[in-house]
Amino acid sequence: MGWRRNDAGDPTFRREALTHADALHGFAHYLTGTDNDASDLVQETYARALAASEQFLPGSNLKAWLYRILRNAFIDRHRRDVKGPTAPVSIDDVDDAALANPSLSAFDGDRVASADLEAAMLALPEASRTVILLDFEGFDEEEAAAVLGCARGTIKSRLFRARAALRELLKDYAPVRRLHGL
Amino acid sequence: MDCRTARLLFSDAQHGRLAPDDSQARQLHLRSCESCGQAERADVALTSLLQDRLPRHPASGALKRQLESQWLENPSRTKPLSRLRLLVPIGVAASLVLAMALGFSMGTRQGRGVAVLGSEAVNDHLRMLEGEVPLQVLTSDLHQVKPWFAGKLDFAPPITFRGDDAYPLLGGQVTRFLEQRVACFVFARRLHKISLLVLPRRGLVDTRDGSTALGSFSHAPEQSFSSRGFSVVSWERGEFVYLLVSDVNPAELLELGKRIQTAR
Repeated sequence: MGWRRNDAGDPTFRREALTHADALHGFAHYLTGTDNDASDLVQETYARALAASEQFLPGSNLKAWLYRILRNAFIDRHRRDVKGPTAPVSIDDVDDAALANPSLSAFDGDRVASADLEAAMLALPEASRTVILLDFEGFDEEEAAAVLGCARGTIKSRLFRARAALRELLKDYAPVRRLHGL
Repeated sequence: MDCRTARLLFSDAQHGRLAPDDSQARQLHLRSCESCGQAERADVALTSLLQDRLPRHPASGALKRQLESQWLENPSRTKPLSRLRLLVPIGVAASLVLAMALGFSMGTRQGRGVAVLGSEAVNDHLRMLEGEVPLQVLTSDLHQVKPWFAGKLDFAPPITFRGDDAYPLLGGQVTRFLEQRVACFVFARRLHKISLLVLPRRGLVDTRDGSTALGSFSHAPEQSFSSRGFSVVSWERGEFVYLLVSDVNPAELLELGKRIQTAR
C-alpha cells in the first residue's frame, strides 16, 4: 500500500484548491462576522495550506482539508484576540432536551429575510454554526468530524442540536394565522 | 426505530445518504409518530430556507486575483512569515533614485519632502515583502533584535515596544533610507506585515542644498502619506523619526504607533 506525499508544485492541486475560495470565504464570513476578516482568514488559510501542502494526502478530500485549516486558523486568532487560551464551546455539553423535544414551532420562510437568517446564524455558538455550514456544504459525517476535530459518532447529534437551536431563533417568524371569514 | 434515532437521521435522509434498511425503518416510524413527522417537516423547511435565503458571501474578485497570482504565478509569496525576505541592494539604489527624482520634481518644498519620504518608506516596505533574502534577525524577542543592531548602525534605535498579541514582532533588518542606514523593525497585523523605520532626524535633509529638512513631524503618530494602497504613519521623538508603513487599515497603523510611542 503506497502512501505518497502531495507535490506542492502540482498545478492541478493548486488550481483545485483555488476552486474552493468562494466556499471558504463564505465559511470564514460566518466564523468572523465580517467580509474583511473573512478575506484575511482565507488568505491565511491558503498560506498555511501551501506551507503544509506536503501533508495533504492525494485522493483525500481537499475541500475538507482546507476547511479544517481555516477553522484552526480562526481558533488560533480567537485565542490570540482574547489574550489566552479559552475552552472551546462544545455543543456536546448541551443537554439532550432538544433531541427529545425538538422545537416544533413552524416558521414562515417567506417572512424570514436573508439578513435575519444571517443574524440568527451569527447568534449561534461557533461550533453550532460550523456544523450547520458543513452539512449545508454537503460534508458527510467523516469529513465534518475531520474539520471539527471530534469523534465521528457525535456529528449527528451536534447537527441536530444546532439546527434545533437555529429553528428556535427563527420561531418569531411564525406563520401569520388567518382568521376564518377574513 | 425510536424517536431519537429517527430525528438524528433527518439530515442523512435529506442528503440521500441513508442505507435502505434505515430508510425503510425511518419511514415506518414517521407514519406512526406525529411528533417526529412534524419535527421533520420543520427541519426540511429549515433546509429550504438555508438554501434559498442564506447569503453565501463569496470571495471578492480582488481576493481571487490575489490568490491566483500568489498560488499559480508566484507561490513563494504566500509562504509563512518566517520566509520574509529583505531588500536587494540594487533595487534599493534604483528605487531610491526614482523616489528622489519624483520627489524633487514635485511642487512645494514641504510637498516634495512628504512625497520623498512617503515613496521611500513604501518602497522600502515593498522590498522587504518581495525581497529574496530572509530578515536579517528573525525573532519575536526585542531583547535579541535591539542588540543585533549594535555595530551595524551609528545609533541605537530607541524602541521599547516588544510587540503584543495584536502586533507581534517578527524581526528586524538594516535598510537604506535616503542614503543612510536605518533600523527596520517588522511587525505583523493578522496576515499583514508592518515596517517600522527608525532613523535620526539629522539625516532627513534635502541632499541638493545639504540643509533643508524634509517633511515635518508631529509628536503624536499621524497618517502622513498614502500611495498605492499603503499608508505611512509618522512622528518624531527626541532626535529620532519613526515611520510606520503597511497596507493595513490606517487606524490600525495609528494604533500601533500609539503603542510604540507609549511603551515603557
